[in-house]
Amino acid sequence: MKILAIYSSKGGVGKTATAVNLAYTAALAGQRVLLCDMDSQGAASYYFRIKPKKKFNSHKLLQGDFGKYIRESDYSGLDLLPAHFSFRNLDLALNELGEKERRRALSRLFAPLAEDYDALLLDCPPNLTLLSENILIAADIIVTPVVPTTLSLLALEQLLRLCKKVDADHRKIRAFFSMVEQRKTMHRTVMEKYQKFAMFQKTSIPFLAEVEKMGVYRQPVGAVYPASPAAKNYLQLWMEIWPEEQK
Amino acid sequence: MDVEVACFFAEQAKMAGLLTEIAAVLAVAERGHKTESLGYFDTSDWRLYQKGLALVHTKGLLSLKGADGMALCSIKSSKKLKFFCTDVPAGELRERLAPLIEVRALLAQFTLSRVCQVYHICNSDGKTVVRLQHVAEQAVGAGRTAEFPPLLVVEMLRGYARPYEKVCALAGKYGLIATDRRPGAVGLALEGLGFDHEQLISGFTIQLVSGIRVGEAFAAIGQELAKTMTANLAGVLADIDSEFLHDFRVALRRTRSLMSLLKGEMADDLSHFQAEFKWLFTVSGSLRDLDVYLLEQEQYSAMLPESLQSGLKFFFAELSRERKKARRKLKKDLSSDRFTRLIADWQAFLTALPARPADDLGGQDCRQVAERLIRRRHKQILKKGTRITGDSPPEALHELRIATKKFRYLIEFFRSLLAAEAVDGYLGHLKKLQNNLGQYNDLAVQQNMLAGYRYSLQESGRRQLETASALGGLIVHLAAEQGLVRARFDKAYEQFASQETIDLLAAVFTHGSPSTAKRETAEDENTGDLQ
Repeated sequence: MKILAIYSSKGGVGKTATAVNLAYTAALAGQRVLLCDMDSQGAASYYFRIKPKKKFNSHKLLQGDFGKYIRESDYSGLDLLPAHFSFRNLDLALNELGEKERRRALSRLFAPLAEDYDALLLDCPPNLTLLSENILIAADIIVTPVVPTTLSLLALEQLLRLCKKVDADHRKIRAFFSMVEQRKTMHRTVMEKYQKFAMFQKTSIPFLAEVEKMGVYRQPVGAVYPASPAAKNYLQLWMEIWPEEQK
Repeated sequence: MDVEVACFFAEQAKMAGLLTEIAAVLAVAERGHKTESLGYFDTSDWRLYQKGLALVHTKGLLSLKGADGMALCSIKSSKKLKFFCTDVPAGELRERLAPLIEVRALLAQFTLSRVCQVYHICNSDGKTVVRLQHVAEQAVGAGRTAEFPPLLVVEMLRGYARPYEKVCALAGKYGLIATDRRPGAVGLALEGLGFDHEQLISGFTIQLVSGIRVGEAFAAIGQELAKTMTANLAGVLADIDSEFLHDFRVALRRTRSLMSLLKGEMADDLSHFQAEFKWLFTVSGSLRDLDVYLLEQEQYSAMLPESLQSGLKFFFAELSRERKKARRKLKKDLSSDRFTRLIADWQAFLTALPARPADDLGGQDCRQVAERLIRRRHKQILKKGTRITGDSPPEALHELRIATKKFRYLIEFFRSLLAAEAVDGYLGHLKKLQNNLGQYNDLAVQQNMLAGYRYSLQESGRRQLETASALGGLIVHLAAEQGLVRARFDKAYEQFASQETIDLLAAVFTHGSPSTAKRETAEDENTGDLQ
């Protein structure tokens, strides 16, 4: 099982759309996928029309007692562990754990899922907390969407610093340009300058109306418009990211 | 992860009402219907089914499915009616099938047609929480059609147990009966179509009643063997695969042995049938021999270097032509009056065998006769075998081989009257000697056939020269192998003639006859002249 964290410290960069659409693409490609919505906002859960069960909360999550709260999406091979409002306190709860435990708690929690799933995608909240550190350590791959602007690059630098702090290999990072608008000069300039770095995927995701409308039709873009450029882009991105030997 | 599913018998007429009931509590969305046509393949003796497997063709894909219905492996494939393992491209599917199927043909046995009406039960967010399918299936095969009672399949989505339970409860309340049946149940399809999938055409078994007389046993065994021959006849005539003729001839061989082994114990004249079955054995031999050689093609090819391969190809092309001729001839013979009369007369003869008085030929206790015959033949084998040395001619080994074969048949015929477990153990030991003698004989026969063929090559064109060279190469190889097999004879025979094996034979008789214990001591003094 591979753990992919969809992460950025900046909000509004297309993180959740990426998590949802990559999860859908992966399931379509035959992987058994679990998408974990770690963001208390619950956007990913909203896109899948899945609410958490009443008894679920961050406490249950950290105790490892979350199997029964996993719910099947409408799409074959794709399950979701929905977010819960109490997740906003996950940092505090993690901080209660011992020095050795507090950064590795998620890694341990997720290990048993390997029996049932090939890919674990984490939709992460946009911040730089103890939870983020846990995620960066647990993940095999860190997928980070970058809107091609100067501010976004600052956020990328923050990610690199955080990786260094927690001793996570920066080569885990798979950055890609997100919400790209070719008509904007700044976008073109930034992409030209940074695309050549190994960290950046060749595929970029343009700003697309269909993706923006996901909150309206509440389905992954590939489910509504299977032949669209949007669906094709996400498939291409998935093919670049998913490790060669697993295909 | 297993999918939680519940099935109910549900006629089409009840569906509308049930869906209305459900709609009162949850939203019901129709999601269209799908039609599937699944072709099931298996050998005529249902080898895959016996192992809980199913080979299914649908939508251009050929898949091997396990007992749980999950596909183990698949390949792209066009529709076919019949194929062999060798027709499957090299890969996982072929590797899985080969040890089970061997040389048998995979036939399109039946088709399962399925129409599914799909419904999604949704919650107030529009999320699907339960999936429903109304499944109507029909199996078509062997000139018959079997319709199955339509099923309602209720599928739970992980994490949504409550709505699933609710729907199941509603179905029950509405009067639908829950069932363990699932769509695609192969066993039910076979039953519905009248296939006899329990049959196992391998080995020979017959349950003889304790106390049975010789004549009765003869009739029972003869009839069982005749059944096997008849069961394989259609397959031979249709030329489905080489195993039908093989099984036919094995049963025929046993029938001939039955007569030659027991004729001294029967009051009836068997000479007519012995002559007729000999005719049948002879006319069916050519095709069988050709089948065997054609199956050897890959092995022969592996014995020769690249330079001789083309000659070998010519040879096999010629064999294929001969095979076609032999097949036509056999078909004629098996459709002839002579053959039809033989089968009918034999059946009539066996059914009408009169019961003989207890002390006369045919009326004696079979168990006792069996023991006597087995012990006698055992002595004969030991006599023949001990005389064989390194200088003995091939005929001596050939004779020994025939003797052990008849000996084996004898024991197998009467296994049910003896200590069955001991019999199986003993036959295991006997098999080792038989294998050695059998291999030796096979190699001799092959060399003779090839040499004879080579000799008969007329004209001296390039093709003939290449063929002659290839055959020469094969003969050399086979002769070398034969030498090795011959060298192993001594050890194989020693084991057979060892005290351990002889004691095993004695153990075979510790069943059935109450006077066995007494008889064993009497035997020691007896030279066996009573026989």
